[in-house]
Amino acid sequence: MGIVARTRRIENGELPEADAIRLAQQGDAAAFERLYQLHHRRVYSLCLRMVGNTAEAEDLTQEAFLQLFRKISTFRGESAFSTWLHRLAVNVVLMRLRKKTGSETSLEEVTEPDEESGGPRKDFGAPDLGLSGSIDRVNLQRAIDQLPAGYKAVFVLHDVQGYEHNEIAHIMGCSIGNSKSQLHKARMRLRDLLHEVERQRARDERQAFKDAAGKD
Amino acid sequence: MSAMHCRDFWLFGSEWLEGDRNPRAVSHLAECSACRSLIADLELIRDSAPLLHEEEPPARMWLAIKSQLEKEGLIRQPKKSFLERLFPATAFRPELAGAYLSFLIIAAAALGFHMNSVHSAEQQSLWLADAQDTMTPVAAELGSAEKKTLPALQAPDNDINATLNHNLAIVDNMISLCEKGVRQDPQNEMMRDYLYSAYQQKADLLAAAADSEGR
Repeated sequence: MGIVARTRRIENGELPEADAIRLAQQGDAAAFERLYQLHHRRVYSLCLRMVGNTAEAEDLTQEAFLQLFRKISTFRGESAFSTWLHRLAVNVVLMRLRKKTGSETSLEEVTEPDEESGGPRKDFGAPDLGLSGSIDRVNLQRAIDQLPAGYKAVFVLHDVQGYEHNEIAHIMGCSIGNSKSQLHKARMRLRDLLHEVERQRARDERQAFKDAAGKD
Repeated sequence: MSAMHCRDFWLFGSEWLEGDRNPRAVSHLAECSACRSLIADLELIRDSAPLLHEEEPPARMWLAIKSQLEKEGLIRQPKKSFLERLFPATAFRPELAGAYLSFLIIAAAALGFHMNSVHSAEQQSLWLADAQDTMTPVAAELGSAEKKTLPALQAPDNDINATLNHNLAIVDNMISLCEKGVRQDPQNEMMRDYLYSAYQQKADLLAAAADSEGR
């Protein structure tokens, strides 16, 4: 393919990923941009869900892509390119979270006794236990923000981004069973956190009602 | 078959969400409202998660990444044309192409006069090659600019385009005659003047065509 035709295909977004990888390995600027265009939304979304704020997500996404492009000459295609990129991105995010907490954050998060059993923690058996039919996007993100890093990564990769457990195992460097277990615990913890949001909302409404009644 | 307890079901919950319908779990769920509530919540969380799917990062992010890659020497810039190497801005400012071409043509003309002032026999014998070296990049850039402008000039039923096309044909003919003349007699100052003037006119016409396309 001639340079003009190739550049045109890249600019039109027609260059297949495999060709873009090969050209990027040769240092082709347009191929780098094509790879960025193909994957930037997913990587940025992953970072955003993991850290919960846009400025930090931008910083992490940038770091992930820079690491990717620095290492692209070593990519041999043993795994899917997107899996490789996500593995890099997850590592970048986990490293940042480790620095923040000042401790090692691993998949084997320290879990609370109730979570070890995988069961609901409080109010078990109470009649108003169920969440109220829909979950607000903002509340869900707030709840995710409170998850330990390992739970968060698996939940975002599986439930938000749609990866399978075998892919997550590859990305996270863990077993499939571990990925399943972390996902279950993440959902259970989210359930607790979302219940707490609902309880708080109910308390606020009761208080507002009392305040209004007091004025009358 | 022994009955499943809530604690066992909690451990089994993720399998249930993945579609595993263990008969003991089915039986337990039929009897236990708390576990039904648990499953309903987990399904709701799972099904709500895609609400948080892809977000678009700001456009400046790619520019920052690209800039860093350039600093680190990881990306190779595409080869630039003769004019772009001289005047990088022309690549993005077609409306300025006429002005830059004019500058180039004047520079080429000045170079020609300077060389013509040296009348040694050896210099005379190199004149043809020098003239070619000066003319070729200008002609090539004009050709390239013409190709870019061509689609704008092909719009039907447009009086301006018709006039531009007509004038371009005249100037092209003049360029062709002058180039032939310069090749035959490279020291002919008047012929070179005509040629540079013809290049200049063509550059002006192409700039006018680019301007009319932008409007």
